[in-house]
Amino acid sequence: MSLKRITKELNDLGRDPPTSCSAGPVGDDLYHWQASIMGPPDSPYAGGVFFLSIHFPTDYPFKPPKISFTTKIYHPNINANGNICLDILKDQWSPALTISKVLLSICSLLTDANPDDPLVPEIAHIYKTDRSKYEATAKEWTKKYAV
Amino acid sequence: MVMSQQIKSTQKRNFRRTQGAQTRIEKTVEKEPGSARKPPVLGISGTDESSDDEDLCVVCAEKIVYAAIALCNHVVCHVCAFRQRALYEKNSCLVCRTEADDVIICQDKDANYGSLKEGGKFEEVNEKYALLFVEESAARSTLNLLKFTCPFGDTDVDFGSYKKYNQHLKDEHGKTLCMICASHKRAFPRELKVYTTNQLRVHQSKGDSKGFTGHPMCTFCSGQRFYSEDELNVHMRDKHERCHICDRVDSSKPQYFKDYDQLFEHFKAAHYVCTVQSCLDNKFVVFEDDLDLQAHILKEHGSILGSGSSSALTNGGRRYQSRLSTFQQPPRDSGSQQRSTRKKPTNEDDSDSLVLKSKRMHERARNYLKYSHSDYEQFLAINEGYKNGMITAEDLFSAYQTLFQSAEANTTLLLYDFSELFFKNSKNYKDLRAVYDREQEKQDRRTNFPSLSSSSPNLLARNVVSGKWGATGGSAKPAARQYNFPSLKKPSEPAFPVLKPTPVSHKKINTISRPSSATGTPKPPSTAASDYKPTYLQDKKSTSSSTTSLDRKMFPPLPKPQKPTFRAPPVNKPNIANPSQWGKVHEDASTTLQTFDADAASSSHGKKKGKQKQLLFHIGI
Repeated sequence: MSLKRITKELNDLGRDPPTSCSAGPVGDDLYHWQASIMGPPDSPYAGGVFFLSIHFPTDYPFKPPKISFTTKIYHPNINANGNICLDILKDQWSPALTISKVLLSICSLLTDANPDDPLVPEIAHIYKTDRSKYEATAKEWTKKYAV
Repeated sequence: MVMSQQIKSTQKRNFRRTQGAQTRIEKTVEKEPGSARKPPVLGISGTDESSDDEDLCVVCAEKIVYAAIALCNHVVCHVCAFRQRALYEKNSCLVCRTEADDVIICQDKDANYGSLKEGGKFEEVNEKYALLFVEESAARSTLNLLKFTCPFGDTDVDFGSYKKYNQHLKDEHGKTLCMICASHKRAFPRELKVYTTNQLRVHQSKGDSKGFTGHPMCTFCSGQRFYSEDELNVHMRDKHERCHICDRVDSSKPQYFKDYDQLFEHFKAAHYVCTVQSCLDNKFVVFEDDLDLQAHILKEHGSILGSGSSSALTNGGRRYQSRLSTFQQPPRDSGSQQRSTRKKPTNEDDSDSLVLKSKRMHERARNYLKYSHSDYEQFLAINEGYKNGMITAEDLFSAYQTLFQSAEANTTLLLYDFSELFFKNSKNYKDLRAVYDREQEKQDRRTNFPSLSSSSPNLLARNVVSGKWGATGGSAKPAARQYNFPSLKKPSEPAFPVLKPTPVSHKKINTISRPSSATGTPKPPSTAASDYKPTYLQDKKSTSSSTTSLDRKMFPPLPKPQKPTFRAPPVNKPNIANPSQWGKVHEDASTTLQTFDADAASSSHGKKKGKQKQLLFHIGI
């Protein structure tokens, strides 16, 4: 069941790629993909290319895919291991969601972080108290790790 | 009613749009799955959508035989809807997560929930899962999914449970189910594969289907296997111990221990345990470094430390002390290794691998080209041309500029990415970098100084480089300041010598600042022509020279540091008070010191004993 759905998504992605991201299998294994997100222009991540790894569980799409950043990124909702704190990847997952939609959600998470539900409280604190410092650090990290 | 129909129709449209790709998958992906990653040739996505595409379930991508329609009018296939309600035990819509009290299952995929509900013509109603079946056949094919019937067709009996079903397979067919899948997979009985014992072993240890690598095993619990990593993680969290200190350092590779005893051994070996009994009883009182432990001991066990003095510290702070002492335990090294490896990844991060760099460039290029395949090929061709030396870096850059037309395309960034693919000392790299640096500079100028004329940046740059002001001012602004007020340069110069922090010799100052003032230096009296600065200089000079002469006469350097040391014995008090006899004081002090030494040694020297008596007599007075 999951394989058919994954191949369908892959083909949809190829037919109608989202504007700022791409995704596809790493090798022969259709259950392991790699995705890339271009840093949104109106964010401190602009200019960066961020890579993510996607693992589909065998129960996909009833269970959400496991997505994490492989490029280091300074963000209140993404930790040092690249784990993403995003509701639709956890309890708010819906089997009708697709990788394309999830990647777009991650894109918008980069533009609008959610410091009220942080994964890295330190960054969230800086985000809330000293926005310019947050942006400077995020830019610096982008330049260092994603450009 | 009308509204719900509208909703339905828009939903339907969306539904169709997302379904469109199905046939193409079979065409392209099955041939070569890897190729589907690349953007497809745009021509394909024409109007070849067959009617089959519309009938696919949005969840499982299978053709919908019976549609399951919820209150929100979202349509999925009856298998997915039933799986959600019966196996996942959730009543939410698979598309929009709206809670649905019941679901209508019918053949007509375009049916509307409201009108069907109003009509109320249902052949069968399943109370348990709140399913309303329009057709009898829909009810059969849905509810039969839950039946435990033998796949070999020797009997129609519904075994009713996995246990009995498995027993039948074993007894009659010598086969078995994977009971881990049976209890966790949320699959309908007939969806589960039937294995021989050998096949089952392969299935559980390595996996037997795509995307499945076997059921992971807990290494502590004698080979107990779990459905997936998630279940294993839950087990590890509940039944075993994890080092929270190591987690803090790097939580990507969690380190587990069978029980607290093993974890404690790890604590002792790699971290800093508080060995005070109450903390040992409390468990998990362990610190990442010795400073934290020391702080903890001072804060929590201050009383023990105070009363028991040093013994408590050596007991409680053994870990802290042992670091430098000979009691250091060999396992400590493993801890320090961990700490050193912690730093390694950051170093590796600094230099991205060539593969990543190239991937990044291509990803960027594809994005700028809006994933157009032909343009991307052209981009690759340009790069190839440069690599082979067909075109120069300049040509490459102009080719980029013509190729990348979109507004957000940053060709200089691409140039940078491309240059990174060459060796640092290669000609290709240097040429590309030269163009990149030039373009970057242009860009910086455009962004930083948009209104200034073209010549200004050069001027600024020259000033910054020459650094005339940088030497004294040290702030970031001097160059700009100088540029704005070039006339200030002159008057500021004479002020220089005054500001000079260390006037080593006064002659030098005079010669540097103003040759004319050099004549005035020996005689301070009035020279009307000279302004305040020279006089100020002279004043300073004269006073300073006088003070130095005074210094030499009045304060010989030798006694100064010794004074406080000799003040200590109270016997000398009267002698110090007399300033006129400094030299003598010095001698006296030295002799008193000698006597003191003699006193301390209590040697029976006749001469010194006499002096000692004298001193004692002094004290008496």
